Amino acid sequence: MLALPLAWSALKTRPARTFFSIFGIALGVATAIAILTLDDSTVANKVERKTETFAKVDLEVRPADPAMPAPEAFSKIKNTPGVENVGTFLFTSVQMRTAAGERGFPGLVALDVVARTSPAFDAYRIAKGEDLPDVENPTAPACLLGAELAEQMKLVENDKIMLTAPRVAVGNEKMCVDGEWVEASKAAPRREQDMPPPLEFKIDGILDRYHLGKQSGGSIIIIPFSTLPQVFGERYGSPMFWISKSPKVTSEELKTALTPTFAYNVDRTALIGESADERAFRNGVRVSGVLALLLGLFVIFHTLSMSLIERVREIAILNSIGATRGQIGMAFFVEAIMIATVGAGLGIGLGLGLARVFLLAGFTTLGRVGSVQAFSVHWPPIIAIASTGLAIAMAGSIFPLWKARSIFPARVLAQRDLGRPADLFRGMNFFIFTILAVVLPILYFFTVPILGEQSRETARVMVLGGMLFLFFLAFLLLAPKALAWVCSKISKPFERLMPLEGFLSARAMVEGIPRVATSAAVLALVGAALITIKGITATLRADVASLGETITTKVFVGTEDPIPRSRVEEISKIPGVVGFEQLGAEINSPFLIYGLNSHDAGQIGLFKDPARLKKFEEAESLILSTPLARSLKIEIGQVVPVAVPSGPPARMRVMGISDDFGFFPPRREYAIVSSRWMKQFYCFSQDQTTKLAVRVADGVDPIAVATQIQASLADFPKLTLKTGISYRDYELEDIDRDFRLFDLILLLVATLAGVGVLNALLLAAYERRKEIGVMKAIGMTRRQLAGTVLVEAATTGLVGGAFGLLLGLAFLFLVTDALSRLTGLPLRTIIEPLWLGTAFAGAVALAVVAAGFPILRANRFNAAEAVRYE
Amino acid sequence: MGPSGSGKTTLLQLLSGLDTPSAGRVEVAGQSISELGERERTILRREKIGFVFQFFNLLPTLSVEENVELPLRIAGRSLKDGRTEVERLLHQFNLVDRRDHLPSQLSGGEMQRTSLCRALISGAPLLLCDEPTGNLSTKAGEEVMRALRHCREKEKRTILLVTHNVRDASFADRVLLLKDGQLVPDAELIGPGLSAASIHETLERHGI
Ligand SMILES: Nc1ncnc2c1ncn2[C@@H]1O[C@H](COP(=O)(O)OP(=O)(O)O)[C@@H](O)[C@H]1O
Ligand SMILES: [Mg+2]
Repeated sequence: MLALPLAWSALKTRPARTFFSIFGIALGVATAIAILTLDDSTVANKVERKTETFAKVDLEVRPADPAMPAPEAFSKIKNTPGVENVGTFLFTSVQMRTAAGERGFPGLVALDVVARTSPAFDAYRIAKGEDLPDVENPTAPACLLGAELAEQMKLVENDKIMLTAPRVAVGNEKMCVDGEWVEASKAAPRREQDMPPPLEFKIDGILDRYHLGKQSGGSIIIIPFSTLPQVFGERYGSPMFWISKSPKVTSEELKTALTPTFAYNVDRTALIGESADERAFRNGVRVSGVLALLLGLFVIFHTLSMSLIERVREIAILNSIGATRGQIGMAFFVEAIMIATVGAGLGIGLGLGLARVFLLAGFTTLGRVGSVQAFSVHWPPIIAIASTGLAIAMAGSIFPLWKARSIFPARVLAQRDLGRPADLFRGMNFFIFTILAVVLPILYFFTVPILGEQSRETARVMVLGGMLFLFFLAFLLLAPKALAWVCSKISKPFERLMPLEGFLSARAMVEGIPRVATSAAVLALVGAALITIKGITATLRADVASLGETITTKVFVGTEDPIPRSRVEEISKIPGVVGFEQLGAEINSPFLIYGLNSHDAGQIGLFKDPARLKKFEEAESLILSTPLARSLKIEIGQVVPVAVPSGPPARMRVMGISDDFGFFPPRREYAIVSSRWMKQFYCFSQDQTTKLAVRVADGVDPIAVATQIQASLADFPKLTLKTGISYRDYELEDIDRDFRLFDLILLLVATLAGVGVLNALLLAAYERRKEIGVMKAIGMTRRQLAGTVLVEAATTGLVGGAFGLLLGLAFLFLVTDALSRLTGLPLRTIIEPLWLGTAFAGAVALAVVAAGFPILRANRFNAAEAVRYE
Repeated sequence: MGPSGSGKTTLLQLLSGLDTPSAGRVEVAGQSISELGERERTILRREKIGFVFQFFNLLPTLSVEENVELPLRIAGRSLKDGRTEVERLLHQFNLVDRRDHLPSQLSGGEMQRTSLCRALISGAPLLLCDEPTGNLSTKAGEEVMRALRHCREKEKRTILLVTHNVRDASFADRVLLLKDGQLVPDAELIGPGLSAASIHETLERHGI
């Protein structure tokens, strides 16, 4: 076995090259894996919290019109595009009696067969006994019991219990009808004789303490939905529907398709991280993952190919003493496998470690939070990423070998100059381009798919971004003449300043243009990533800042107890106060709606116009906030049904879209109606308001007013006061905090790029070892040698920086445009010269710093050795 | 002269400051090299010594003319001022129509003549030549030796030549023998006008 010792000695005799290659691939694989694991853990953590005492429900909806019959509602949902599974669900309480005569009042969950059995909902698990039969209409009534209830009542599977509807005192139930509370019995009389007699249920199984099994503290009974009428009669109330979303649609598209016929429960959704802004953020993280992997693999790919060229002579010698091409190829292949396996292995470990540290430090793919303990590791994609790394490493060693098949040992050995077969390079960049820019991203996004990939916006941005990326890389990697021309133009000034260094590095760059191209491409990508990410941050900040304009004159007051009207009027008399908004909320109808007394709010915006003001008060009309209007795709003049508890939905006409009124942090998707309709539909009086937004006159200090409000409401427990300015500042900080994850990723990516450039320069130095020795022998000083390498690095940095600027700006416009379409925020791209400068200077600085180690190495080359032998 | 491995190349490298002796002193042009720092040695080499290698050691990416100019660039001298000297040398060594060729396009003799021009361009008084004809055909070797003689006679340079070729050695004013890293005592031949036969006889006598 010739291959192993040869490979081993090659690795051992070039420790720096070995180290940096392993480091490169390890860091690239690690970053990609860290990002993946971070995202998995983030989502798992949140879903687990949300579904702790519930099922994993993507969306829970009910008809906006309570009169809609359940079967009709069911089939409407079923036929909505993007709905994969629908389950019927009702949660109530029931009266139970055991055979021993013991009575209880546990929670009751009725589930149809889909809700019970679909793994998408993962509603419960059985601890003992059996599950309910998988049929819609079981022959005999059967049920499942929560563990706590079973213990408490000393029940086991196959025991029998009696269930009956709770005989509540009917007169206690009240209902809102036209703004008045009326006794439910009067609204809809319910007679004792409507109630069916108690029904006997057999206990099929006991629930595990998991999801629904934890509901009501485990004091819970699950029955098939079809037995509900036998217990409660026909008037058991309107069911809810569980929906599991098809991956083909985004959660926004699904919500939009269901609204306004259905209202969804915002608190019951396992669609964590799937709203547009969350998705955009997570996709951003994923795209940076491919960038890191790309750079990491570039390092090893480049190293392996270059080292082969550097060792052409070695191959020739081996060949001349009888080693077959197969044997030589094997040696290089084994070497590549050794580097790549160690690198990928370390990468997995490092990646998981990084993810863990990030999570513990509170960096998640849904923004910065407190420390996250959850750690969810999905091995298949991790293995896939590591294997991609391995495969590309193999390709990196095979390609040059294939190229080298045409080398004749005699030619190499007989060469009397310091010749090196530069034509080996030909075609290599095309290969690198194909592998890294086309094959790798495809493999990566196959493993780590972009979220909501079916949405047009995401697809558009990916396609356009991908095209930009390809075009740019193609120019750098596939047009050596053009790039050489650019480099020679850039190095001209250097040549004037330092004639020798400029001259030599210009020659070296023309000779090694593929090396310069790849290094510049790497630097450009990092610069572009920096510009894009900082640009997005600035753009989002600008959006918050623009929101700030409408709220900087406001003070937001929150209390636990309602603030009576008389106290609100006291506040309105504080000097500087020009208006106030008492906000009452009804969340589920089907979106957040506040009631507003328009006369209190001050003559601002839409209310400057008396006709509009009149319309708002007298017609059944709504004002939507801009983000709500955008996300529901509702326009002015459209009629929106709003669920009303006592009867058919109210038909409200959208009279305006504005953020001037009704905003109360942090929710930006809301609608406002006149307080009159709040009273009429929900019997909601403004006196019950716990949210108050106070507007102060321009030029009045909101903090001073806030202080006076605080004094005035001193007797309210849990009083919170927040000025619009402080809210805006908090939001701005929040954006910065969330985007710190990107700073970390950028740091990793920049390190990788640095290693890439370092490796390229180092290999180039090794390759020119002999020339460097000769030049030392004829009088070149260390400083001149250092200068030569530095000029090349700086030129590479300048080219990379310039391309980074162009690419970064293009990406930025593309991404912010897509973001504004996705999130419904009217984003305007902000370009901060500071970051453009940083990206450019950073690329140059990175290249120059990366030159440090190769310079040290080259200066240690032994000139006496170099000139001695051929 | 001396057998392979006797220390000829090592001696040249010590003299040029590329290598440092573990014992003893090296003096070149009245300066003790051993006491100089790396930078000073480099400068000394640049100014006082021209090197001609057995394997030419031309830079493959530079043309003949650029290879010849390289020491001027390294010394930070203006190429304009050195222009006439470059032209003169290219003429002298019959390389004018080869000036734009890359080393890989040259014959061995041409490469070594280019290498000689490179050694001469800085005006260094001392030329160290390590088997300059060792890798050349007889004819090409003769061309190079003619060039070297010209350097000695017309340019008044001191040449220290390592060679295996008795005919080459007969041009010398002094012939010294090296064996196992030591000068062979009593083997020094003083010219001018040494005959190849007498050199040959001396080598035989000392078992070389
Ligand atoms: N004076 C010396 N002292 C110690 N080692 C020497 C001496 N001269 C030569 N050597 C060693 O002998 C080896 C061959 O020397 P080299 O100069 O290449 O020989 P040549 O050029 O005559 O063929 C070198 O490794 C060198 O270190
Ligand atoms: Mg020798």
